[in-house]
Order: sequence, then structure tokens, then C-alpha cells
Amino acid sequence: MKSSTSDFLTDVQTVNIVIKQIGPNKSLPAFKRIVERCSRQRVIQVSDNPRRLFHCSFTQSSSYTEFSELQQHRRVFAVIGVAFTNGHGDPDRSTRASRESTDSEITESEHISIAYKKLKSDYPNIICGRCILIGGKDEDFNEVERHERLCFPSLEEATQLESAIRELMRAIYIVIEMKRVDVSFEKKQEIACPTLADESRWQVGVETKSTKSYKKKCLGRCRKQHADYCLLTGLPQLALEAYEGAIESLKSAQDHLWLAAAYDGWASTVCILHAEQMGEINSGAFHRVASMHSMFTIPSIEINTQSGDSLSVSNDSVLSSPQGHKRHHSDEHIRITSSLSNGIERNESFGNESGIVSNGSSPSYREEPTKVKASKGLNPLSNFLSDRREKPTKERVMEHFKNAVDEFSKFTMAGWLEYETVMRAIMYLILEREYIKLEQFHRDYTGKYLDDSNLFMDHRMKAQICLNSAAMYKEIGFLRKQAFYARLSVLFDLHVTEGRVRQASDYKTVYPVLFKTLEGYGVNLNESHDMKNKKIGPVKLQIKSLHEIFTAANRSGHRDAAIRHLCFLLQVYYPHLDSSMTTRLFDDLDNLVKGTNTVHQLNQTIVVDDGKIIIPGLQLTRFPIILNPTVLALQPNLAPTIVPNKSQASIFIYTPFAKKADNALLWVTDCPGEVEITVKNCRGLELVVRELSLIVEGVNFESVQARLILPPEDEENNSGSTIRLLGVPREPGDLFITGYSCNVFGLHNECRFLSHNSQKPNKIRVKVLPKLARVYLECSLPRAPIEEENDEPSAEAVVYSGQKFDHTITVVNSSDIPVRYCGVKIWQPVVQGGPPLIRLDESENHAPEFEEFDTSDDLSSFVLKPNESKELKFHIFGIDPTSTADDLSDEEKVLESVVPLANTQAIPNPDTESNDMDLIPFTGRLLTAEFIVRYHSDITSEDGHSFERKCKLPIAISIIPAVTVSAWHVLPGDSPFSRYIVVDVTNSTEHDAELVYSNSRRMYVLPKETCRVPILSPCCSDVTGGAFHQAKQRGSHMMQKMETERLRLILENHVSKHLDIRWAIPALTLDGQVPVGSLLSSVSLLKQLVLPAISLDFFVNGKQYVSEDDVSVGIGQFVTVEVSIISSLAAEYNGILSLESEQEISHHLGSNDTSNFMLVTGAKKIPFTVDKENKQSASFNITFIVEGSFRVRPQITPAPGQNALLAEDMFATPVAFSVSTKF
Amino acid sequence: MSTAKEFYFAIIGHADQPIFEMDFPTPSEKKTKESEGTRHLNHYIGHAALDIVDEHALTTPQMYLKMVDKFNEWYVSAFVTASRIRFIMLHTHRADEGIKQFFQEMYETYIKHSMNPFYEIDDVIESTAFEQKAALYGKKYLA
Repeated sequence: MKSSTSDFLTDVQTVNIVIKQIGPNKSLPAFKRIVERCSRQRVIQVSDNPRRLFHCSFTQSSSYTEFSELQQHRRVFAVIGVAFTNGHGDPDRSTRASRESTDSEITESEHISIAYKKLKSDYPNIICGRCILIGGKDEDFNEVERHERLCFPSLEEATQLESAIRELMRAIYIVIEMKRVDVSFEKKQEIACPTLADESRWQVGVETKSTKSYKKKCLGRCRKQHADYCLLTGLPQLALEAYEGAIESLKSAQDHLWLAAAYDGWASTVCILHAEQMGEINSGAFHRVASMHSMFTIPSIEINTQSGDSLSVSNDSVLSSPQGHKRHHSDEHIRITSSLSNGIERNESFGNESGIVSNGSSPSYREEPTKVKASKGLNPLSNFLSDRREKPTKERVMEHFKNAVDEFSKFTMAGWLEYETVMRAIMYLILEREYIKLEQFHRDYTGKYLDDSNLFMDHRMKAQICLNSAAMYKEIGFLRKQAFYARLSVLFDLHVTEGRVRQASDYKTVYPVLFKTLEGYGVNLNESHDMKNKKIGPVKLQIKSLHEIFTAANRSGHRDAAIRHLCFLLQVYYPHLDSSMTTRLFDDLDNLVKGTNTVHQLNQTIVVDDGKIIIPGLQLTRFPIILNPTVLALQPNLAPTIVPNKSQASIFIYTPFAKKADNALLWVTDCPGEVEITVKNCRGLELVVRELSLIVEGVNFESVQARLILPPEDEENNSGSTIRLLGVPREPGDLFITGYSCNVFGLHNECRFLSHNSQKPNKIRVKVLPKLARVYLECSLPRAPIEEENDEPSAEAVVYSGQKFDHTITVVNSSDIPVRYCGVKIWQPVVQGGPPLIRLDESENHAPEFEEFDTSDDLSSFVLKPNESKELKFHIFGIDPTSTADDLSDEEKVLESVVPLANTQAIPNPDTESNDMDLIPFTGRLLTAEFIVRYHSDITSEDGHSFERKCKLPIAISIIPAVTVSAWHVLPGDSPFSRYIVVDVTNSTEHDAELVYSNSRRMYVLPKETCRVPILSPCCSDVTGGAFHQAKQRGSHMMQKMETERLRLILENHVSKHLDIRWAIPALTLDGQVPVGSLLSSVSLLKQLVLPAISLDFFVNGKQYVSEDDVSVGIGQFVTVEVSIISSLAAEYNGILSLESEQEISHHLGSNDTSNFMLVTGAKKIPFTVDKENKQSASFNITFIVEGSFRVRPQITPAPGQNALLAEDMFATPVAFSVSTKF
Repeated sequence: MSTAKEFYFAIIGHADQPIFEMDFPTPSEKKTKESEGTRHLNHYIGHAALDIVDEHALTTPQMYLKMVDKFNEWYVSAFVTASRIRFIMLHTHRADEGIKQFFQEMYETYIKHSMNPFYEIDDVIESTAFEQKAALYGKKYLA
């Protein structure tokens, strides 16, 4: 069994020593240790000048010893028996007991002695032997020769073992060296011809010993043996010459078998010299521990040679090294061979008579002449051989190898010898980097061994040949070829002969071999495979080889390895598997999982002892597919924000270097956090995922396990489901969410989250804050149903519009952490006029000690101790819900009485009206408001920041309309300085309502009816007539808005005192105030209550015109219209007053000028001069010449130098006339 | 040992993955199952030969590498394109000249196909036109 291709080469210069356990007590581990210790001594330096190394190998069995005469390296030169005596070395007591019962009369020492003698007798040609006795006394084993006994009290105390082994090796060396120097056969007339044991059987005919040919044969064989001895004793250069001599003799004698061996020996020696020269095979690295090590795994070994003169040799450069092997290509041979040829030419030790082996690592050319001289003395054979040797060239070496193979092939029984020669030739080609030639040679020469017609070799041998080929290809980096031959070896290994069933042990043997083929098929178990990777290699081959490995692992009893391979297959190749195979694989997985009680951990590395195989962990990310991990912020009532310390505030308003408070992802200790993930099931069947939980790093974290049942994926359902994984951080710090764990198919699976590009792991950082106080709100109002996504409590209330109620809200600190600041705000619909929906009681105010907090937005603020609560009073007022924005559209403008003035520019334009600052805040009958409490826990971070949380109490207020304002008008009042605000009040209830207005006036409104309530209100003199116009001239919209609002507030305060309409519904025992917020927010209404610059009062035929009732006149009937002009301006105003008539065509089309239907007698235009103190009257006599309804409006034309009056600067009610023929 | 001439052609991508496969003569429906069974053997042989193909590609400037490997009755011939896409032909009989011409024609067809902006190098070739061309050249040169 060869562990490496180089073993085939090193074997030829290695002496075999068989080491075996003997005696009744066996201990395999202790025996292995002894073998290992012996194997470390496999090379000794036997000569300094020239430097000669003597190689030994310690094997437990030897093969083809029948050819030991032909090839001396096959001979067993010594045996070592290892015996463990009673009580030592952990003997097998059961074996011992049985033996004692049967051989009770034989003592242990006798038993060992007998066994040792038997071992020696098994190998009759040995030179010497040793018996290592562990635990016995020396005198007890007198039957074993004294010099052969190596007694040690225990294995640990066997310090002299190594030196004894070296002594044994030296003894063997001396014997072989003696044989080597004996070249008397060259001179003798009659030489004893070395023969093989069974040579006579296959020899054809009778050989005449007196013939010249026989003599040459004998000489050739002796030279061949001499060459072998040279090689074994560390003199390859001499061996080379001896082999050449042997070839000459044997060729002429036509001794084919020996000739083959001589060819082989010569070529192998050249190879050894070549390898040493190149430094490829360090002499010290020649090793042979194949029996103790499986293929591909050769440990790095240090070799100690003679005691005191240690020679440490590393085998890093040995070709068989499985790791870190660098592939060499054929194109390197040019460089290497050139260097080699130079080396050959320069180094005279190669290819000349020198018998000195130069160490390839440190060739010393200067010493060559002395070495040559020295070698002459060592080389007695050179005296008999001519110096006319051909230098070994590549072609010659290969030719000799081929000759050897051809000669061997003539002998069926030497098949294995032939194969070994082939492998040595391949080794030579490896050294030459001739990989293409190597592959061809290998194909040509090894093919026949694997052929079915080759009956000489059984399937085990064929498997071994394939395995050797695989090892060879691995050495040169042909991993695909290696995989091919390794798989072929498995096929031979599992070849079933008749009557034999494959055993688990068969699969145990082939499993490591198959495992090593994965690399050749491009499968890397360590790599985390991207599921979208299209270029993963030859998929079909990979699937097949993985399935074979799974089968081998399963049948050899490696359950965990089988599960791991199966999961890898499903994880990486699921899209490439057909449905029947997928089903079969899942069934196999199910059976494997059910077969045991322990849960397989997919994340753990598996070590399979048989082949020293390490199978890495696996992330089963395909079942289920988990994507897009998103850390969710805490719920609004629990989410904290970091409030920077005010004292450390920057002097800059903005600086890019300032640290930003990272409020994005903040979790709080002991507060459950959530991570949202998308889960997909790519299987066609339902997938059950158990114990799904988060994997985190950084801080102590309690994950909450989830159980999912995922429906099969189909065309409609392929987007996956979104779920949330919960966990509670238990300490503050930086939390890193790295992945998830789950139990799927009965396997424990741990996976990392991958980032969006699926390349690098996605590590999500979340900052966990210390435990914070928690505050909640309780309200005296009833509790409302809450939404699914938000578990904050909410309250609801039902009020009739105009009603007012008092309630309380309680702020409770439910934690044991004090709150050092608690501020209350109310979010509610903005009401432009009238009382707001919710108002905090006046008694609630700020505590004085909060200077460090920004209290400007808060209505009230206070401190809460642990588990303390605070009660706040507030009022709810039912604002008018009917006055929505839609209600106050164009209709309102129509309903309002706007007196058109003489100046056409002053006529209200609907387009400009839409830009009014009317703000109608509420849009529905169900209004929502919120109490917002923000609080700071009494905890400060290291950098002085504090943590703020907010809690809210939403209140849904349903307002039922009772008695509300549906429309309003402004009419002239009793005098030019007062106005009637005529309010249409609607009773929306089913009962009679009683109204009380203007202190004591009463009115009843029937259900669903509207009644008109006139309220006399004096004009407001605080706002001048043109103030709103001036406000609109402001530079920006915001400034306009603010100025308008300021004016509106002045007017609201003025008007609201007079707009007190109370209602009562006795049937329901309800009462309240008619909400007039919509009126008060209407700028267009309030504008009309401004005292105008000029007010005009009409008297028709001496009677004051106060109403909108038409004045009935006949055609041609003269009417005296007296106009009283009153000014509120401080300055004098001059102008000309005239009258105009207009006829209203329709509501939409407006009116047209009909002044030509009206005749004015006397002065048509009357000049006037008025000021605040003096008013003036002007009288007009008019008549109408056409039937119809006419409205007479005053028209004021300002005198030169006077400003034109705006529409709102003048107040006048047009006089309506109804003209008829008959009267 | 099969007496009929059989060919298995594969284009191998950079990750050793077959991106196009075709058997010659095109198997009939009856034989499809049978050929599926033996095809995986072709995969193994072709895959193992890639080491030699790569080695040849490093040492020789030729695109057509002649016969590079053999296993049982299957010979392996190869062709390496300029972009190191490998054409592998497994055949039971020597037909060097025919295979060479077939490779040349397929090389041109492959170049044309790879010019398609919707085709990415190393993607599986699913074009029916390409398949038809391959079948045509197979009939022409490998019959």
C-alpha cells in the first residue's frame, strides 16, 4: 500500500523491517505509538564523507517477499516483536483470560518467547531481530537472546527505544555493507547463481551451467544484487554503474526477469539521483509510513539521525503533501530542465564513477575531486567496468523503464512488479514536469491492469491501482483526473463477487475516498453557496457525486455525515433536482432523522474518524428562505429618543462635524424588540419551521421562539409571508443581530442574515438603552376599541354640539424609575373661532423647576416619582360639526349681504373671495384629539444625554349636532354703526328646542326646522375699514395670514360677546350654547362688522328704509330718496353722490345696469363734504319708466385728491323698488 | 465495444459546467432513456479529460488539440477557444479530420451566438438555432 507516488521510488532504497505485536496481551494504541516512534528513526546517517544515508521502513506486513532475491528492497532484513506483559500497556484482559484458561501451564514469558521465535521463523532470511518487552523484567525472558531483548518497565520509560532501533538499523547496515563490498564474484570462475524460490518451476528447458551464457547470467544476477546493496546502503552512484554492468551481462544472457529488474533498478536510481539533485525529494523526507497512515494524510515528520547529530528534515516539499500543493504545469519543464541540465553538466557526481551521493539540497562542487578520489576506494566494481558509460538522458531513462516493463510483462507472476515499475516511470515524469507525456504514459500502461481481461489482479488490487493513480494526479494538481480515478477505485472496491454481500465496512473504506473527490468536481463544502449562483460547476456530476457520498456515509453508519451531505445537496442543488429525486431525498432525510433521538446540529463541524475527515457546518438557508431582515423601532409609546444635553449644546447652529443623535434604531432593556423578516417556502409541500428565533451578539438577549407552518409555493403565492421575530434585550449596549436559528425537518439550523447583494453577512446594529420609566394615561372617559397594530389605550366621548363637559386624565408612572420631567400637550383640530374642542383646566400649569427642559410646547408639566400618578382636569366642548368646508362654499357668499358700491372695482369678485383667510378646521362629525405626554426618565447616559419617551391617549369625540348655525347674514342695524347678524339656527334633533339670545329673548325651534335669529351687534371701531385690504398687500402669504388672523381675533373678541345664543331641549334635558365658531372663523362675516368709512342711510319719501322689503311704486310715480351720508373718518371727505339703478336678471347671471329706466329730476349728482363730526344729506327725486324690480344703489365718486373708496369702506343697503303699472 | 459510431459533443464553460450538449447521431425517442443512462458516464469522462485539455491549452498555441484522452472505448478530442471555452468530443471511432472541421464550424457558430447581447458567457445555450446548426454540422462531418 503506497501513500504517495514517491513511495514507489523511495522503496527501492529502503530496507524492510517487519514489526508485529506478539504475546497474549495486545494493545493496539500502545503498539501504534511504538511503531510511530520507530518510524521516526527511519533514516540514519552512516557515513559523513561521503555522506551516506541508510533508510529503513517499519511495516507490519510485507508483500512479494518471494522476489526478495530479485529485488533486495523486498527482502525483510529484520523483525521486531512487541510484547506487553501483565498489567502494562492496557492489555486486552478478555483475550488474556481465555488464553490463560487454555494454556494455563504456559507462563506469559514463555508465551512471548514462543511467539517471538515463531515470528523469526516466519521470515527465515532475516539478519537479526529484536523483541521489545514492555512491563516485564529482563530476567524473565531468558529464552529470548540477550542482545535481542529490549525490556522497558513501561512505554513512557522506554527512553532508550530509539537508540536501540538505531542500533538495530546500524547492525543491518553493516551486514548489507559487507555484502556490498564483497565483489569476489567478478573474479570467480564459478559463481553461485542467485535464484528465486520457484524459479525452477517456470524455467523452460534444462540449463547447462558450463555455458558462457550461464556464466553471464550468474554474473549479471550477482551484479544486480550488488547494485541493490549499493542502493540500500546509500550509494546510488555506485548502484548506477553496477546496474549498467548487470544489464550488459543479463541482456546477453537473455535472463529477462532479472534484466527487467536491472533496467528498473538503473532507471529508479537515476530517478533518485535526479530527485535529490532537484531537491524534490529530500533524502531525509523519504519515508514510508503507509501502513499507519491512510492515503493523502502524511504528517509532517522530523527525522532524527544518529544520536547527538540530529538532522531535522521537513517534508514540506514532498509531492504527496495534500495541503498547499501548488500545481505545476508542463510549461515549467523548460525552465526546470534547463536548470537540471546545467546541474547535470556541472555536477560530476551525476553520471560518472563517483559513488558519493550528493545531497541535493547542498551540493558542493568544490569538494567533488576529493569525493571522486574517495569514491574510487569505495567502488571496487568500477575497476571491472569500463568508464565509457552513456550519460542518462530523459529518453534513456524512459527507455529503460519501458524496457523493464516489457521484460516484466513476459512474466505473469511479476505483474505487480511491472506495475511498480510503471509507477516509478510516472514518478520520473512528475519530476520532469512532463504532465502530458505522463498522462499518456499512465493511460497506455495502466489501462491493461484495469481491464476485465486482467485476471491476475483481483478487484482489490485494481482499486488500489486506481487509488494510486488518483494520488498521483492529486500530486500534480489534476484534481478532475484524481476524482475520476478515485471514483473508479470505489467502483472496483465495491465490486461484488458471487455469494458476497456488501458490508458496512466496505462503505467505510470507500467513504473517505469518495469524499476526497468532491474537490475534483468543484464542490466546496466550506463555501457558503449563493442560491442564485448560476456558475457552480458541473451540476449533474456534483449532484451524482454528492449523492454517492451520501449513500456511502449512510451505509457505512455515519448518520450525521449522511444528513449533512443530504442537506448540502438540497441546499445548493434543489433547483436542479427533479421532483422524484427531491421526494426521495426528503424521504431519506426523514428516515435518517427519525432513526435517532438526538437532534442533528447543522451548524456544527463533523469529524469522521475513519478518514480523518472534517465536514464543515452548513447553513440551510433554502428551507425556509428568509429575506430582508428589518429591525423595527419600538412602538410609539415605548420608542425612546435621545435628547442631547443642553449644557453641551454646540455654539454653531449647524456644523457637519457635530455628532448626530442616532434615534433610528433604539431599543430599551427589558422591552421586547421586533425584527421583521420575509419567509418563503420554495418547496411544493407545506413546511413546518419550529423554534425560529434570532441569533444576536453583544448583549444578553432573550429570543422568543416562533413556530411557522408555511404553505407551499405556487404561482399566486410566491412573494412570501412577512413575520416578526421577538426578543427581549436584558442589558444595555450595542446589540448585533446576526442571524436566526430554527428547527426544520427535525434538524437544528443556524444561519446568518445576508445583505441585499447576498455576499457578505448582514450584521444589524441596534443600540440598547438602559431600562427607562414607563408612563401611561388613564381617562375618566370610556375606553375605545384599539387598533391591531397599536396597543395604546384610547378613549371616546359623545357630546351634543355646544355642550361642555369636565373630565380628568391621570398620568401614571408604572415603573420603579422616577420621571424627572413630564410635559402634557393636546393635539386637536384647530378651531379658528370660539372655544376649542378640548381645553386643559386653568388650574393646570407648569411646575417652576424645569428650567433645563423646553416647556414652551407643553400646556402643563410636572414630576412623577416611581409608581406615582398625577390627575389633570380638562373640558370638552362640542364644536359645530356641521360647518364643514363644503358647507361654507359659494352658498355662504350668496347668503351674505354684500352691498355693492358705486366703484366697480369694489364689487366682490368670487375668485378673489376664494383666497380669503377662512380656515374651516374640522371636516367630520367624528373628531379625534390626543393627549400627548412626553417624559424624561431620571437616567442620564455617560455623555449627558437624557432619554425621552412619549405616551398618547387618543380621544375619539363624536359630536351630535343639536342646534347649530346653518347660515348667516349681516344686515344693517338700527343705525349705520350697528349691524344685525342674522343667524339661521337649525334644530337637528327630534325635539323642540328653546333658544335664548340677546339676554332674555326667547324663541322656539321645531324639530328639523330652521329659524332666523337676529342679533344686533355694534360695529367694531378698533379695526379700520381698509385694514383687511391693507393686510392683503403684505409681502408674503404668511404675513398676510398673520395680519388677517390678528384682525380676525380683534373682531372675534368684539363679536363673541354679542353672539351668545343658548339652547335647551327640555325633552332630553339637554342644554348648551349654539356653537358659533364657524361664524367667528369666517373672515368675510367679520369684515362686515368693521365700522365702514362711509355709511349711507336711506329715507324713502321721508321714511327710513331698514328692510329688504321692496318699495312699491307705479310707473311715472316720483319718489323722494334722501341719502344721509355719515363718515367715521377723522379727516374730511369730499365726493359726489349719485344713484344708479340695476335689475337682477337671475341668481347666477347677476344684474345689469338699468339706469336709463330711472329718471332723476333735479340734481343728479350732489357734491358732499363729510367728516367724523358732520354728516350731510342729499335728496333725489326719481321715477321709473319701466315695470319691474329695480335696486337703487348709491355711487360715490371721490373728489379730485381723494382716495377711491373700497367696497368694505362703504356700507349701504340698496333700496329695492317694485315698479308696476297699476298702483 | 460498440461498433456503431457514436459521438458526444459538449461545450464546457469556465466553471467546468456543460453549457451545451449533443449526441450524434441524434438518439431516437426509444433510445433517449438509454442514452440518458450512459450520458452521465460521458460526463465523467469528459470532465476528467479537462485537466489534460487545460494542460494542452497552456503548452500549445493550437486551438484544436486532437485526441487528448481515452477511457475504455471512448476517445476524447478537444478544442479550446480564444476565451478558453472548451469543446469536448467523446467518440468511439477515430475521425480526426471530421471532428476538426466540426469544431471549426461550431466555433464560428458559438462566436455568432456569443455576440448576442442577451447571451452572457457561461450561460447555458438554449437557442434552437444553435442546436439545429450543431445537428447539421454533426450530420455533415460526423456521419
